[in-house]
Amino acid sequence: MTRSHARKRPVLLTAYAVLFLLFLYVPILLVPAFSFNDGTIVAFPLQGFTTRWYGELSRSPELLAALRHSLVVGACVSVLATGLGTLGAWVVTRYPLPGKAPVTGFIMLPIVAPLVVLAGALFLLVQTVGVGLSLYTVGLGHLIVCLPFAFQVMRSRLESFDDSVLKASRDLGEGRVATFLRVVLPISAPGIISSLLLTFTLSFDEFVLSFFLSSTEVTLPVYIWSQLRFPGRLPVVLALGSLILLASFVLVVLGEVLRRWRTDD
Amino acid sequence: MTDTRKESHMAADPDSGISIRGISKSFDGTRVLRDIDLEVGRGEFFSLLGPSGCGKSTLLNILGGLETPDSGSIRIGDRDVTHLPAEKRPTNMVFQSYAMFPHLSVAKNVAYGLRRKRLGRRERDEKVERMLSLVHLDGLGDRNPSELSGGQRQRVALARALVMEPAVLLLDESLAALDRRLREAMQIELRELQREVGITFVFVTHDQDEAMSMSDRIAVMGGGRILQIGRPTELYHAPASREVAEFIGSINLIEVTPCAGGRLEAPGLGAFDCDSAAGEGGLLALRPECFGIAREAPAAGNRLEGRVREVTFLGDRSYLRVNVEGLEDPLIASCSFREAEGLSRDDRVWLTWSAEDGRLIPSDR
Ligand SMILES: Nc1ncnc2c1ncn2[C@@H]1O[C@H](COP(=O)(O)OP(=O)(O)O)[C@@H](O)[C@H]1O
Ligand SMILES: [Mg+2]
Repeated sequence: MTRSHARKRPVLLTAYAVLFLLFLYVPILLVPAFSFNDGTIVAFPLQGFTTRWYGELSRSPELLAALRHSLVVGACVSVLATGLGTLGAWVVTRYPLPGKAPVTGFIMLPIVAPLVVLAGALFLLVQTVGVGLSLYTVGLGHLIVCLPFAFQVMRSRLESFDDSVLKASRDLGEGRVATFLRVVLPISAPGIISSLLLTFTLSFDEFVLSFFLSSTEVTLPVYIWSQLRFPGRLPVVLALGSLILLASFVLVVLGEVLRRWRTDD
Repeated sequence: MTDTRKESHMAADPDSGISIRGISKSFDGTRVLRDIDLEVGRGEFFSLLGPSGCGKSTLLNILGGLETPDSGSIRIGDRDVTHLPAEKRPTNMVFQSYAMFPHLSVAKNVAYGLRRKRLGRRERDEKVERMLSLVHLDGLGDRNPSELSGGQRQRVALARALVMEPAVLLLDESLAALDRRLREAMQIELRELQREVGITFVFVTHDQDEAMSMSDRIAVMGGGRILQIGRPTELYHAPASREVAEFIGSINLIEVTPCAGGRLEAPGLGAFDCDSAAGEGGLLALRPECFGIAREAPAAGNRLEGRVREVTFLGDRSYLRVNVEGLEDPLIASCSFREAEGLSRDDRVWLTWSAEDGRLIPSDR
């Protein structure tokens, strides 16, 4: 490789990196940009600065209800999925079970199947059983999709730690339950946090299942979809979107800080 | 901690030591332990010595309650602990991998087992401090185990087990992961520590030098059985079988049959006197240091003639390998540098030994 060639490359690479980042972030940054735009039409040029859409947020009870539904479903689903996933991963990594390999091999199946198919199947199932659509059925759908992810995250975490630590705990006088609480849980805490965040995110912006399985109480994505018909409502949705972006950003930064702090220590 | 320390290498006291009776254990149909009987005295430093895979760890885990035996019983002191789970036994283990709790500091690792003892915070902290200082880790309590060297982690593992004040401390290849220097230093330290705390130690190792230098008594294991139990000197000078003889130190074995006058005869080599012979044949076992080296044919006594094959100078000792006609393997003799001085390959020598030094052991063929 010649010297000039080697010197040229960073220019191209830099250009590529800039384009790459623009492609990734510009669409997202449009959301806060338009949320402060003083006009109902979402198009350039921007028409002046306003915070009125944020004020209007608090006067949109339906939107706030949808947000609350999404948060509640997300919280319940992530906690349930992570709890069940942890127990499942625990059993699979510690005990020899007949048929373990095929069962764990197929565990991702609900995700590989097209969501529409799964949603349709669940819709039929709910109709057949006759329990009626509600936020519970939405949560059930989300749980089915989130469980495999939680299981996989927890399995890789639990597989990586040494059995002798468990023996040591029992040798030092702790029974199985206390060992789980004092050793297994803290060691798997990073896995549990990733699993909670991952499954919450999956549930929070899930659309297809929510659409099929909800009735009058809808989650945020379904609500937003229903509002797209009214252009005048869009800026309020953008204001909410910006707040959610801000919250995610804070969470990610916080998570990173926590992670560094833990590894430094 | 026990205060009734007794002199070591005494016979096991049935009221206060460990008594193992008829322990067997199989994994997936493979017998790993076969009918193990063992008595360990209180305050004894007892080693389980044997090649890798012979079942030492399994036996230790059974002692600690981390495995259940298929049959047999275990008593510690005057209690039958056979069916007691690990968390209720008066034993604590120092694991080969150290098994540090990675999420806890050194001090919290040591304090882990004390939660159950319902001590006050001050009392607990004091105990931990004292234990850390006993293993020379003062001031390192706030570190994370990952910041410690192997030797230091080893000490944390020791402290964590000792702070529980067990009746018996179980150590599984505890020094094996350390480099040689550190291992030798730790051998001495561990032995001193054991004298200091007066707790019964059951120490598993595959390293015969380690077992010999530290133990009051050793059980040599092979293939899931106990081959011989004895003090290091007994095992060395009076091995009961070929397996034990070959496992501990180097040894010369000569096949012999009984002959007239209570002597032993090796076909084509002559007849020898041996104090331990009792009218049977077998293998005459001779340690390298039993031999004297003569350059002229001795007038009387046990002797074998041969030619020097190799002289190895090792500083404090010299080793001679001597080819003897009629024996497959060369005999190994150790002697002082002076005795071997001037000897070189193909020189004719006579190896001599006294009747009390040779040992007759049963031939296993
Ligand atoms: N939990 C287990 N499951 C199956 N086999 C085992 C288990 N533990 C030990 N073994 C087998 O038992 C034999 C003895 O093992 P071990 O007691 O660890 O020997 P040592 O400590 O003397 O090296 C080995 O062949 C080992 O493979
Ligand atoms: Mg072992």
